[in-house]
Amino acid sequence: MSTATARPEATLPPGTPVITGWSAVSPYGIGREEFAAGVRAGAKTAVKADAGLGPLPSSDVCTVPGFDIQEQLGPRGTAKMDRLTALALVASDGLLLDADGNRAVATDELTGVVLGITMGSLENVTDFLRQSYTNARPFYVDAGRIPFGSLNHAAGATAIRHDLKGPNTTVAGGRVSGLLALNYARRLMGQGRATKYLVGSAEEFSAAHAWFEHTATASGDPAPLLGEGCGLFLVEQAEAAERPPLAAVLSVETRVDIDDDPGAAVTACARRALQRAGVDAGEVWAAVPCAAPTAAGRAEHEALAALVPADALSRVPSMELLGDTSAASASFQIAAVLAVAEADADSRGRTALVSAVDRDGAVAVAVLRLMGEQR
Amino acid sequence: MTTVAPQHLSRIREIIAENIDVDLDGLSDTALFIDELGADSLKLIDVLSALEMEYSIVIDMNELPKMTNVEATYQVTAAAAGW
Repeated sequence: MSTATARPEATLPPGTPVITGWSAVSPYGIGREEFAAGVRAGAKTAVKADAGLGPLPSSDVCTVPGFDIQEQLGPRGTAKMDRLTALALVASDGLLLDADGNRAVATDELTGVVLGITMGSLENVTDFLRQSYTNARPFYVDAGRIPFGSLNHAAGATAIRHDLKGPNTTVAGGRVSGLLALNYARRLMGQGRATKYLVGSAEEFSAAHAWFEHTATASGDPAPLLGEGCGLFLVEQAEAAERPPLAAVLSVETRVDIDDDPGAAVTACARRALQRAGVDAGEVWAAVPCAAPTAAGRAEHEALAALVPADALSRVPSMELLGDTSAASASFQIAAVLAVAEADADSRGRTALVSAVDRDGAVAVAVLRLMGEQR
Repeated sequence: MTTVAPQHLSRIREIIAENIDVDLDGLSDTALFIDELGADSLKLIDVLSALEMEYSIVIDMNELPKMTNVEATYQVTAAAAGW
């Protein structure tokens, strides 16, 4: 343990949310260790898509390797489960359970769940609609899939699985949703509505998702290399945290790019987030953009490059390695910062900035204080 | 009395097992879905809609309470299908 500086948590204002645990189900594999090792190695994750997915606009994908819903969660209750829900459930197991499947994290009546998504399970919704349009009668549909088609199912199923009775919320904000979820948890804990939170975001890969993104790709942009997964964090308030903090959430700011100038929106959002955090841009140790393969993503990178020290942007390998993980990306960005920080003795007490831009103009930036001991 | 068509009964049993989440091997014709097999009313609606789709029939929702086990579900389905 470093004794050269004061413990950073000693300087946090009361009520500051702190991240005290995390898990990831990602193109690097199922689990936190797989994610951390992949990120630190800067490994690529693209593979040829499973032929069982049928025709796809691009043959390369960044799917979670070996992720089979029944294998991961057992046969009961999973026959009609959508992939998005399964990714969230497996990530929640990774966060709350130990290797033997026993509960490792205490929860109470006010432990909440907030999950960021884009549009839920597109595959489930499109399959269901297809049945209604093409079967002999519009009500000849697989009714067992209806619950899985609701936008809040993954968050609800996570709470039911772990008996979490606090506020349960889904934030459908696309690429920025992971940061919106973090902000939501921060607000509700600040208001005393929750004592701790499972916060994260998730995206599933499916043929429906791939074709949707294909049609939404702007002319001139490359065909998106799509990824999937779920990143989850345990967030508590600093003074009540039951586990050592890995990072403090100093600020989360959001903007909407109404001038069709995403770079300006990111700059304004990041400056405000840094100001609220009481951090100078020159102090940023790591900055992680979402690396969306769009004009907004490129503008985001340029905006951060003009704002923070050059080495901050190269501290964490690019999120491009995971593919475009859409709603999951912001959580993976935070997890990547934590993974790099826990292997770097210089990180403790430093500042990290995580930003995201969505195609609909939403912009969000979070500023974190890294506090974890090196592993 | 309705004549049980084995191919229909066999398929209905599969549909029920899939929708109430039990092993086909453990699904007897008389075991009660809710009291013995842990099903709930939502799962019974799944069974009803799956049977409607399979046989292109319409089963009145008022018949749902009668669908208590495989045997009774077969009778409700057969009546709706005119077997």
